[in-house]
Amino acid sequence: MKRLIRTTTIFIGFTLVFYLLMVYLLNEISYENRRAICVAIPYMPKKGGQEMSMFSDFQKRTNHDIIVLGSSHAYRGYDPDIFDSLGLDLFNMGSSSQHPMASWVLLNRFIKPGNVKLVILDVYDRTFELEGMDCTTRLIQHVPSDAAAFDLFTAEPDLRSFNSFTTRLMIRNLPSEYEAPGYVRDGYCSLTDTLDTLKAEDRSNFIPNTTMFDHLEKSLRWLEMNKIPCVVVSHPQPLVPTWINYHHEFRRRLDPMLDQYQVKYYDMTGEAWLRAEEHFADENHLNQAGVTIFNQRLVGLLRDDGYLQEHGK
Amino acid sequence: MLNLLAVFAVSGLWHGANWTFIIWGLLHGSYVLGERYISKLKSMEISAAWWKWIKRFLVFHLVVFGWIFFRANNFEDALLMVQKIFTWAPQGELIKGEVGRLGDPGLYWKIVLVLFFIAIDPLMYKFSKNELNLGYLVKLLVLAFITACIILFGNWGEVSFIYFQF
Repeated sequence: MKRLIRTTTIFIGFTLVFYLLMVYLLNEISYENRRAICVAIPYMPKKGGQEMSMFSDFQKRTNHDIIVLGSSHAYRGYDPDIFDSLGLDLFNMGSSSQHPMASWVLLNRFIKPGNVKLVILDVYDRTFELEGMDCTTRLIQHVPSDAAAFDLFTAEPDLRSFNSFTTRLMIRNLPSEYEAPGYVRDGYCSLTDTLDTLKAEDRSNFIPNTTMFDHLEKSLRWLEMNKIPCVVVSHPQPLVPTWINYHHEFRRRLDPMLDQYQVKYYDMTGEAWLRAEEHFADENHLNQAGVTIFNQRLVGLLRDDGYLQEHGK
Repeated sequence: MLNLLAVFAVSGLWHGANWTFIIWGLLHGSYVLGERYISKLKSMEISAAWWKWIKRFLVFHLVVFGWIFFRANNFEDALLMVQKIFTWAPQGELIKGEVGRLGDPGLYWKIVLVLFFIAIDPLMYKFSKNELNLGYLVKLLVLAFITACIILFGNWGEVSFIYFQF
């Protein structure tokens, strides 16, 4: 028994030493201007980009009228300058492929009841289906606190998120390795392209990842408990025929939860006031012209429904 | 001959209800038939070492060729892969987003790594059979190193097991 305990202890010790040594060396060695760890491990993100700029901006000022959480639909779809022109101070905490599990961690760690007047949860049906590791590993690298990074790891405990967390600890002082194209401010990235032809992927059956719905519910419960007003929005998407059923199946899961928490849902999927060729940069994202229309329309709706009357500047 | 092909077709079908598995089975059946025919030829009775290597080379590539049909999602995908293999495109992507382009230094590093693992495979086999007469501590070190590599470089994504298709 003693021998087994000794062997196991030595084995774990050696494994840990080799593991940390390899993570360290792979972060120190560069290959074609990329840290070797990013070349060798496909899910390991480079440091920098939209997430790093967004958190850097957030740390400068944490009080806002509106905070948006969500995927690239969020960080490419809600322009703080447009909201500013309408008398509202918006911060965009969206990030690439951000799923409800990650939104919950960000909400719980960075949003304080006195710091925000309205939270917009932008829900994109695809993020309720995916495993979500891409977003988790990126956020683990970029969130400004180790506690939040650890929460992200424990929310999705996996060797990939563990490797990402270890890497985070090794590259704490590493400056940004790249800039996010089109980054404007307060988390927002703009797109100026226009969509030539709509090449939509096939989305027929919605296969929900129930963990994501559970985390959305956690967020709604937390917001309700902390008395923070909240709305749920689905960012406009061109309504491709094969996506209709998919989105309806998503709503069949979402609507009862929103009814339970009495949260208003602005579903702008397939809105007729946006044209694919004119207002979209690709199949999923609005360009600046589309964002302008969408944001003005959303603010109008929020004001009509009383969400912004007492919250605006 | 027909019996043999039928057996292989059924063994292919056993892997899944898809034409790709049947073709995979039939391919193996045709390999066995070909082997039986060739082994009867007097001109093929060669005992030289180089002939053994040619046979190994052929068997390896024929089996790998069969895996295309075994692993493809459908018959069209398998045909596309076969077509790509026999189309010379020096600047083309080998497999989209996965392997790399010819001329990309990263691709050559990957090939070097694959060759390295092939080269140390006999050594690892001997290690697993405890035939290397290594000391207790060295064995622990090797195992710890392999474990650390698995934790760091392992493919931890959701990969569905091929037999779950039933």
